[in-house]
Amino acid sequence: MSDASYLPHEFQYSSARHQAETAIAGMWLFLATEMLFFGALFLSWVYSRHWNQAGFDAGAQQTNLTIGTVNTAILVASSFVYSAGLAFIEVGNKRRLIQCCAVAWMLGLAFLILKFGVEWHDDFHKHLFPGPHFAITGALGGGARLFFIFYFVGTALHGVHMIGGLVLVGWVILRARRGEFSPGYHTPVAAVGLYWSFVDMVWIVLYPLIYLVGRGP
Amino acid sequence: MTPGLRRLLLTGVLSMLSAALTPRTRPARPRLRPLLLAWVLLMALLAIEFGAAFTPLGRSARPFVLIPAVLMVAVVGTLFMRVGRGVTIVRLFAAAGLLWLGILLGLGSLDPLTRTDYPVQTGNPQ
Repeated sequence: MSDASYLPHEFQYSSARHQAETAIAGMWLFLATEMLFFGALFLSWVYSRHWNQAGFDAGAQQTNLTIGTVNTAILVASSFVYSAGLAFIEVGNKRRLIQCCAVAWMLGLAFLILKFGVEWHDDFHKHLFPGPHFAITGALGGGARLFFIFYFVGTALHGVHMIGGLVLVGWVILRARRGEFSPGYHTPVAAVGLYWSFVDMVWIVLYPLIYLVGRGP
Repeated sequence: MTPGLRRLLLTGVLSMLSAALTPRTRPARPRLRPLLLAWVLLMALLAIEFGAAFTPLGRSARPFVLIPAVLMVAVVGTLFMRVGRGVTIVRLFAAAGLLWLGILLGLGSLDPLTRTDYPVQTGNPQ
């Protein structure tokens, strides 16, 4: 965040620091609404699994645990690298900021390719999309269908947020290349970092809900 | 010694003294250690979570696998998002988000977690 009160600022703020703090607070307010948005999704998991445990878990056992785990590690690394970029611009190292943002962006893209290019592709191929040719039938079919509705809706919503995050990180890279950030002014880098870490957080919760809870020895 | 040479020597000695006494300015280093620690912690928690998924727990007890995930969220929030270092309004918004999320999940889960299912009598009673 900016800590230089001598920087230019909009008329409605008392200082550049005030403007930066307001921007960061605004991002946190947006993230609070996002918590509730994803909260409804998590509540649907509680309901669906509680009333259909056997079928729901039978669906979870069909997911690709390897890709899910690798993707979690990728997102954690991406969040770490972006935070390192923020730490670099705080001491004025613009080159490292650009490098860190580029690595974070590529890790995010790798996540999307694995999720939608490989995993979803396999899921459709195995008839796990809850449609007329759904692979799991019989007594467990209903619960398994509910699981895969949760799975596709949850991963699609998270994926849309990831795409939004990639656009924002790309925007930060472009502005950093134009030399617009400095130790005194880097509020957009911090605000986008909050969003990027939040998207990581959502996946950290989705990962056990999708891949781990329904699995067992 | 001519006055000009004396002045030159004096200036040289003074400038050397000034350089020796002035603290060297090194480029500031970023604070990467907490971030690195957070990443190691997150990977360790991910490994624990992955291993916990294969422990022999009953179906109803399996949501306890989520405990490492909750700790991971706390690590990301404190060390990557720096919620503790924000101004008061930032902490207030974060706390409000968690409070309302708790109310949503708590009240929403109340029915499935507390309802007693009575068996439905089927067949002809006569």
